[in-house]
Amino acid sequence: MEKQKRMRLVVYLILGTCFWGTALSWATAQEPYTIVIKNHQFNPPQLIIPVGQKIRITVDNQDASVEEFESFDLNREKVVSGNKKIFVFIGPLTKGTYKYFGDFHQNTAQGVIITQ
Amino acid sequence: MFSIAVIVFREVLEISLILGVLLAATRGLPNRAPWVWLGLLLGMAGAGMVAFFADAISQAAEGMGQEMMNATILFIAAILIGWTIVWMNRNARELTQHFKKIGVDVIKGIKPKYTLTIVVALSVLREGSEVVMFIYSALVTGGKTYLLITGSLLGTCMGMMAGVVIYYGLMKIPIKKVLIVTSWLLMLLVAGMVAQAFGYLSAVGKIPDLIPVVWDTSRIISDGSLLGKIMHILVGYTDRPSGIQLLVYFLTIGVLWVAVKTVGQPTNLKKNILLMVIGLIGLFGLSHPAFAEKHVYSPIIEQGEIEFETTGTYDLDHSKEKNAVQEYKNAIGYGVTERWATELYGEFERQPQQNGDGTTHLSSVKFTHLEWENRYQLTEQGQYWLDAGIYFAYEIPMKEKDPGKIEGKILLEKSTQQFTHTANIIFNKEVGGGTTQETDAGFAWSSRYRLSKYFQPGFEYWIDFGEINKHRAFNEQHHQIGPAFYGFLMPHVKYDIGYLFGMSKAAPAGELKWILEYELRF
Repeated sequence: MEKQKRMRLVVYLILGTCFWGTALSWATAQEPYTIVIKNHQFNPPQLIIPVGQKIRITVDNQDASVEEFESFDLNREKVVSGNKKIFVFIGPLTKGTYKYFGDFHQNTAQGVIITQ
Repeated sequence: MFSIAVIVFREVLEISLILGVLLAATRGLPNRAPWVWLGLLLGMAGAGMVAFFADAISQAAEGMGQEMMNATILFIAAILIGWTIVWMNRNARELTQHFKKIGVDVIKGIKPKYTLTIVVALSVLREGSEVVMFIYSALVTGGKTYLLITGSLLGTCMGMMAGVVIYYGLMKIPIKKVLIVTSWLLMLLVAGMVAQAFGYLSAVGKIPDLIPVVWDTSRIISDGSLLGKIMHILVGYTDRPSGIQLLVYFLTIGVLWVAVKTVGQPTNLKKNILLMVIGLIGLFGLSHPAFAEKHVYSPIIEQGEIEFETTGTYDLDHSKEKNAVQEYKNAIGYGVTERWATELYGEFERQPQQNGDGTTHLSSVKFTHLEWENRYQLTEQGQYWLDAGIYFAYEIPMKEKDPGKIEGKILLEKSTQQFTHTANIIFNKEVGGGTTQETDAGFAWSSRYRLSKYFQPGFEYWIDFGEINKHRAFNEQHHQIGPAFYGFLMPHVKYDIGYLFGMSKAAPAGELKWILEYELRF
């Protein structure tokens, strides 16, 4: 009985490690891109990323006020506090143009992500 | 001269009205006169000072000084008067319980009297400063002094007379009704003040409008007109209210009403919670009919979002036991952090009940549970192949003998470029005396096509397996599947509506479900 239980535990541990190992490596195998928020504007206003890949974007809010990175095209809505950075994962996406905006300053905070 | 008189009259009238209501509410309060006079003097002195520093004040706080000051004054006065209302009613209750007498004795309970002073002072300060500034500017722009003086005097006298008339009118109310009438007058006054304060705050962009102008009755009764001013004081009327103003107006009334009902009651915790919930949440419930809430939860949290939710289910079936069974809930929720959101629900139900002869009838609508839900997002959205989260809820029954319930769910979501698929693995267990102590399991699935922000068609599949230990036949479990539609009706108003067909015998033949959410950001 003891031996059986131990064997099972080992198998679970191995499976668990495999799963998380894959997940983590998948997660970290993206290239970092950065969008800066300054004066309620996004820079670069057009960001080009590769098609069909999961991408991690760093949104760096250099304003003191809070902003929200929001996009229906990308299905993302995330708050980024003043003088803080957040990560947003998007993709894999097909070739196209995806609009996003800053919900709190929609007049000026507009941007586009283009996949090529 | 007359134009000056009119302007002064209107401002003085506002002060007189507030004073009249306050004085009528505190009639019988011994030795209140010196306190009131003190308040008047302080207010006038303060008004003079405000006028003197007008420039500096408006420059302060990034050019928003004046609005911030007005809002602050209004909030302080609102809190003080609100507290007074609660006090009055609490003492009335205590006294009627002990002495079976109401009236003059009630008011004696208001202490300390300096509350009255502060409220009077603040009101006079607010209105008075406008008068002082107006007169000052009229002087400076070369108005004839004697005209100015006579005009102001005339206006002041007329304003005071009107106030006196209102005061005596209020005094005529029979003693028995005094408490209720004055409580309501003061509640509406406070609600109006809070709405006005929020108006100032949104004017300087500190808070969102929600809807800029809900209605415009400035042609019928404008804010500047006499009737408009009177109505402003009495019920908080304003000719072009914004969404947030209406919201806080009703919220304030709700909070005050609940405070009046709960403070000083013999402590019955559940009853207090019940009343608090009814007051707050019931306000937002458009209580129309339609159980087990059919909401497939996403693990994704939106930080900083306040949400008002109304949801319901309405069952249709041939059998009388299952037909017209309906449950609806109203809730307030808040995304506290990036990863944690919390929500408080009030649940209402109509359930089949046994008649004496073995038939069943549908009960009337009952407030059955209070529920507290928490959701935790475990992974960053899109980072892994699945987004994951957990959900935990505790249900408190309103009836003493009913059992409570704890519920836990695993929330999983996968979003692709065009579709979103969500799964919930559900466990719940009754707790408390007289329950079976068994854990039930369930499952929910939702898929939708994100066609546009306003319309996302999809379907849902709901399973209730029943107790984990027992293996039930398919027909004893609940299996329901049907179309669902999601999206935004208008900015900030989210909907989730569907119709589930019963696939197993135990499930109702048809179930209509809806969820409406109104989102706010602070």
